[in-house]
Amino acid sequence: MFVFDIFKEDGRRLQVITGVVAAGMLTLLGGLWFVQIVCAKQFERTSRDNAIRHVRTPALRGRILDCSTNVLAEERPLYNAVLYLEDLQPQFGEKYARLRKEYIRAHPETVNAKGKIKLTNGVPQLLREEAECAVVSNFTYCVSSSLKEPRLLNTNAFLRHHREEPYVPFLIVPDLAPAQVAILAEQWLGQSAIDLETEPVRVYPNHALAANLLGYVQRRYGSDGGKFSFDMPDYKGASGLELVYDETLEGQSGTNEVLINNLNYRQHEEVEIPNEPGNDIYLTIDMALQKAAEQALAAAQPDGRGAVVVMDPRNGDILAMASAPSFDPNLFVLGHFTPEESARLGDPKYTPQINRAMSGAYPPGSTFKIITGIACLESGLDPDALFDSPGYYRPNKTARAIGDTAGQGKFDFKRAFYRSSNTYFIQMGLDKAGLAKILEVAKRFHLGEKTGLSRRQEVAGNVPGPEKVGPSFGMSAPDICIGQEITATPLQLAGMISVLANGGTLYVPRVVSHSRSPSTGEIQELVAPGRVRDHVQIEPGHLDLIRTSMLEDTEHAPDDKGPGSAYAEFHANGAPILGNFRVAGKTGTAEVKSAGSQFKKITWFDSYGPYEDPRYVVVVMVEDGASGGKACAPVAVKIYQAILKREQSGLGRPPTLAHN
Amino acid sequence: MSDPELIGRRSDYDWPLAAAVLGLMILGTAFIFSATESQAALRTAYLHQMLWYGLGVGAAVAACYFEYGSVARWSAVFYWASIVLLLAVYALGTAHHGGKRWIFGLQPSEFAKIGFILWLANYLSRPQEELRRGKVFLAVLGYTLLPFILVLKEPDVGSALVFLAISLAMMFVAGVPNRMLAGLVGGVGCWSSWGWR
Repeated sequence: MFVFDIFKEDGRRLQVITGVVAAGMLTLLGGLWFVQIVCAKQFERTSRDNAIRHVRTPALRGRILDCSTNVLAEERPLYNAVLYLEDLQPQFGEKYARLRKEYIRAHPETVNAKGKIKLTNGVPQLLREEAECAVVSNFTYCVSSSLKEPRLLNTNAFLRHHREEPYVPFLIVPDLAPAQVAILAEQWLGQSAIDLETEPVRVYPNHALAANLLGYVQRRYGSDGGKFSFDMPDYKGASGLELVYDETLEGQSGTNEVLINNLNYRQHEEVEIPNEPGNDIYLTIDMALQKAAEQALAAAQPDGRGAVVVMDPRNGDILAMASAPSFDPNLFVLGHFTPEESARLGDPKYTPQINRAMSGAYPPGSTFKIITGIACLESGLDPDALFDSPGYYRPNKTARAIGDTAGQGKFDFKRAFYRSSNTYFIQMGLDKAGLAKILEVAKRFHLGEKTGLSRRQEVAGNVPGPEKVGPSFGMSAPDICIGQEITATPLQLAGMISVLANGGTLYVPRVVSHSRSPSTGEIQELVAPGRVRDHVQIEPGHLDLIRTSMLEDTEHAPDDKGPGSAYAEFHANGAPILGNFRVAGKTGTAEVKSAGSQFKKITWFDSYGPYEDPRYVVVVMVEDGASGGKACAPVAVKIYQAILKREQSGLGRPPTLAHN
Repeated sequence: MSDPELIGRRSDYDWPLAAAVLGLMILGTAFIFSATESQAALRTAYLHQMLWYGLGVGAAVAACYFEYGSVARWSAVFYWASIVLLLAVYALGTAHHGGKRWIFGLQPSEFAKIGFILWLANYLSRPQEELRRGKVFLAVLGYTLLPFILVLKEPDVGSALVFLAISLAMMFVAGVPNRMLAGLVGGVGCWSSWGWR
C-alpha cells in the first residue's frame, strides 16, 4: 500500500520521517476518538441544552359560577397593541440629534471659543428622554387614532417603563375589540415596531356584581422560580374567594419544549408536561338575587353605603351577599386605574374594598330588641301587661334622655315591638332581665362571634360580657338594651333571624358548594351543606310571640295602635305589595356618637319569609339611612320581589338540599 | 511529454493519492453544507467550494503532464522570485489581524514555502560526502534563514517556523550528518527560549 511502500525502499531516514508523521496522524486520530466517542455524551447534552428552551404554559384558571351555572368569573383572550422599544432605537437617535441641535442653537453659551460644544450635566439625559417621549407619543397617538380610540401618552408611566423594563414591550392600547384587531393587523403590523400581543385574562363579566365576595386576581411574574427561559405571567388570587380557593382554581401549569436554531428562531415545539386546567367552583349565590340586592341597595340612599345578606334559613346557604359601594374587579386584574378610581378605592368613608356584610361590624340598634325581648320573656315578663311610657328614658335626673320614636302611651310586648319602643325595652330589659341575662341570650345566638363562613375577611364584632359594661368602658346598660354600642355583622344577624325562622338551629353559613373538573367532570364537595353550628334553646311560646310580633312589624295597619314600623313600605294603597307572601321583620336604627366614626346612623331591616314556611332570610343594613323602615325595608321589598320571580321559575321552593 | 514510454505507463499513477483527495473533497463539501445550511446568506457556499474543486482538479491534471525533472531547472527562479515577493510585502502589503502579510489578497509566504522546498530539494540533491561539508550546511542554513527572517518580521511566527521544520526534515532525509542537525536544533532551542523571556 501507498504508505508502507516507503519501508520497502532503503533509506532509514525517510522511514524515520514517515514514522514521525504517522505518529502525528495517530495523535490526531486519538484526539478525534476522544472528542467523538469518549466525550460524545457530554457534548450531546450540552448541544441539547443549548438548543432547547423550556417554556412554562400557564393553566387556564377555573371559572366561578352561581347556583344556576351563571358565570361570575372566567378567562378570555385579551388583545393588546404593544410597541417594541428596541426597534425604535434609530428613531430615538434621530430625534435626539435634532433636539440637541435645536438646543445648541437656542443656547449659544454651550459653544466655547474653540467651537467645542459643552452641554451642562443632565441636559443630554433630559433631551434623550424628551426624544423618546416624542417618538413614543407620536406612535401612541397615530396608532390609537387609527383604532378610533385616540389616546395621549402618559409620559411618566412610559419613562418608568423604559427605565425599569425596556425589554418588555410597551402597552399602548389595551383590550382591543375584534374590529380594532383587524385595523391593527391591516395598517400597522409587519412594517413597524407595533405588534399585537395576546394573553389570557381574568374577566368578571358582571363587573362590580358580588365583587366583594369574589375578590380579584392579580398578575404574577416569576412564579416559576426562574426555572424557565421565558416567564409567562399568570394570575394569583389576591382577595375574596379568588384568594381563598386559589389552589382549586389555578390548576397546574405545564411545560413546552421548544427546539430553536442557531438564530433563536423556533423550529419545533412539543408539549413536555401538559397543563391541567383549574377546577370550576360553584357558589350558593343566586345571581338574580345578588343583582336585585345590589340594585336595591344602590337606590336606597344617595351614596348607597350598606350591605345585604340573603340566606336560606333551612341550611345556612348564602343566596346573596351584597356590599355597597363596590368596585370593578376587572380593574385590578390588569392594574389600570384612573386617578379618580384610585381615589375612590382609597376613600375611608366609602371603602369599596370592605365587604360590609361580614367585614363590617355595626350596632344592631332596635333589631337587638329581639334579644332583649327573649331575655325579658325568659325572666318572667308578662307580654300582655301594659306599660305606660313617657316617650323617653332617663336613668336619673342629670343624665341625658334617650329618645323614643314610638312616642308616649300604653304598650304591651307586641305593640312595643312593632312600634319599636325604646323606653319599654330599656325599662323591661333592666327591670326584668338585667344586663347579664340580655348578654347571655345574645351569646346564645353567637352574636359578636365569627360565623366561620370564611377564614378571611370576617370580623367578630363586639358583644362584651356583662363585667365589661359600665361608664369606664364607654358602654351603658340602657344603650345595650336597644342595640347601641355593641356591634355585630349583617351576616351574624342573618344567622340570628335564621334561628327564629327555622325554630332553633344555627348553621355555619356557606357560600361555596362544590368544584367541578373541566377535563374529567369530576365533582368534589368543597363545603358541606347545612353544617349545624349550634342548637339555640328558645321556648316555643316565646319564639311564637317574637315571630308574630315581627309579622306585625310589616302587617299591622295604621289604626290607633299602629302602624307597624315597616307597614308603609310593604303596602301600596292598603294592599300588600308581595301578595300572599308574608314577611316577618324588625326595623332598627342605631345612632353612632363616637368621634372617629365614618357614619352617624346605622339603619336595619332584618326579616324572613314566607311567614308560614320560611325559606329566605333577608338582612338589609344601610349606613346613614333615614330610618330602618324608610331606608332598608324598601330594599328588602325589592329583594322579596326578586325572590317571588325566582320561585315562579321553580328555584328554591322545594327544599334545595336533602339535608335534615 | 510526447515520450511514448511515459504515456504508456498509466498504471504508475498514484490511485490511493487520488482516492484520498477525492475523500477529502467529499468530506469538505459535506462539512461546509452542514455548517452553513441554516444561514441564508451562506447557503450556497458549498457550491462555491465545488467550483474551486473543478478548477483545482483541472490544474492537477495539467500538472501531471509536466515533467517534474524540468522543475529543478526553474527552482532557483521560483526561490528568488518568492524572496522578492516577501520583500514586496514590506512596501506594498496590507495589514490584517495584526500582521502585514498580504499583497493583492495573496500571502507571499505561501508561495515562498513551495519555492523554498523546490530549491532546497534541488540544492540537497548531491552526494553524501558533499553534504558532510560545513560549507554546504551553512549555505542551506542561509537559504533557510532568509525567508524565515523575512516572514518572522511580518510578523508571522507560525509560518516562519514552518521554514525551519521543512529545512530540518529535508536535510535529515537528504543525509546531512546528525551532529550538524543536532547543533541546528540546539541553536533554535536556545533562540526560542531566549525569545520567550
